[in-house]
Amino acid sequence: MNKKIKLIMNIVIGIVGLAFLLMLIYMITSFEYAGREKEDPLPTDLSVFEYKLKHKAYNEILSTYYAQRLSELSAPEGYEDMFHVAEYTHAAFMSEIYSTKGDAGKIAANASKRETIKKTLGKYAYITDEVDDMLK
Amino acid sequence: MTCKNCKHTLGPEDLKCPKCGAENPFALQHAQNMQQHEGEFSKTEKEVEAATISIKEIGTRAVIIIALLIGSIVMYMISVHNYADPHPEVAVQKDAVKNAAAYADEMDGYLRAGDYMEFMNFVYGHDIQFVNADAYDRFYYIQPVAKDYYECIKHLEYMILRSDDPDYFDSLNTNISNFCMYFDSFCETTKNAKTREKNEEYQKFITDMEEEIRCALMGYCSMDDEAFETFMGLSQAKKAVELERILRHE
Repeated sequence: MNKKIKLIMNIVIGIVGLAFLLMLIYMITSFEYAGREKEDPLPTDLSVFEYKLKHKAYNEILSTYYAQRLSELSAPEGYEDMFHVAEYTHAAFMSEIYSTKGDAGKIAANASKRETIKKTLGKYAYITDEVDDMLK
Repeated sequence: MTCKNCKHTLGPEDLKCPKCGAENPFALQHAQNMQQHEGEFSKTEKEVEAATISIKEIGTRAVIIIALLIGSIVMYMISVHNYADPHPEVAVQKDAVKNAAAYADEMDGYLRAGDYMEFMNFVYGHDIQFVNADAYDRFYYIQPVAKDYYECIKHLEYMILRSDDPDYFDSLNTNISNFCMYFDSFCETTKNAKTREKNEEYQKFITDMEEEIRCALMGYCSMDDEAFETFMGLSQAKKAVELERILRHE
């Protein structure tokens, strides 16, 4: 009887010891994340951004942009290009409204804003033509 | 006790009579009994000893198991605490209260520039709760209008700038539905704000937002003044049907 109890306890010690080791590793790796001020960026979204661009789904780029702006005042790391594209798209969209409204001040301010954003687009500069075409 | 042979007095442990050498049956029986008892005593002693050792070993093992379990639980709790998502919103909200006067002035700047979308982006980005600071009181009536304006423009953008790929996910109906809901809300909040807002400058901003929504619909949905007025008179569901007809070019 005693031998059986000892055997069972030895097995339990083995299992708990293993769990202890795993927890130790889990805890050691967790210190890397301790005291973060912001959540980690999701780099996987970049490929999704390219996919959306490929399909001219600017609505979805804007959707991601607005969702980000709910908690971010500026582009988080890795999202800079997406922010610039979305900002240009929004500015282009608003230009039509200001034109219909006939607000010369806003038209001029919007045109200036678009030119500024264009300079930040880099390899995505081609989207300006695409967006302008879609808004015609 | 005496010897049966010579009647000499015998001790209880004298196996033989020291005088005649005759055997003492009582002492022999006694010696046998003692031998048997000693064997039994020794056996019991060993059993007790074994049981004591066994309890000690089991106790040691139990202590090891408990220590390992407590250690594992403590480490798990530390890890969960370290991996937990941060809550920056609490600090952001405190910041919005602390800098309420400066932020309210900045918000006025966006309104004066006519950038109502950026006004709302600023509100959301700073997680401004309008009831938390007196400096935000002046936005009491204009803020709901700006919020609905923001939603209307946002959903109109989603509708106009959708992918032209027929195989791509089509969210037009959802966006139309959302737009119509926010458009009706915008009309309601605008009407309310116009009658209650005392600040003349803000009155102008409200009228400006109203005008821009009208221009957005006219510009992007090919409506003239008459069509817009008719559209305004439709129910929410009929507005959605009308927008779908226009945007799908049916």
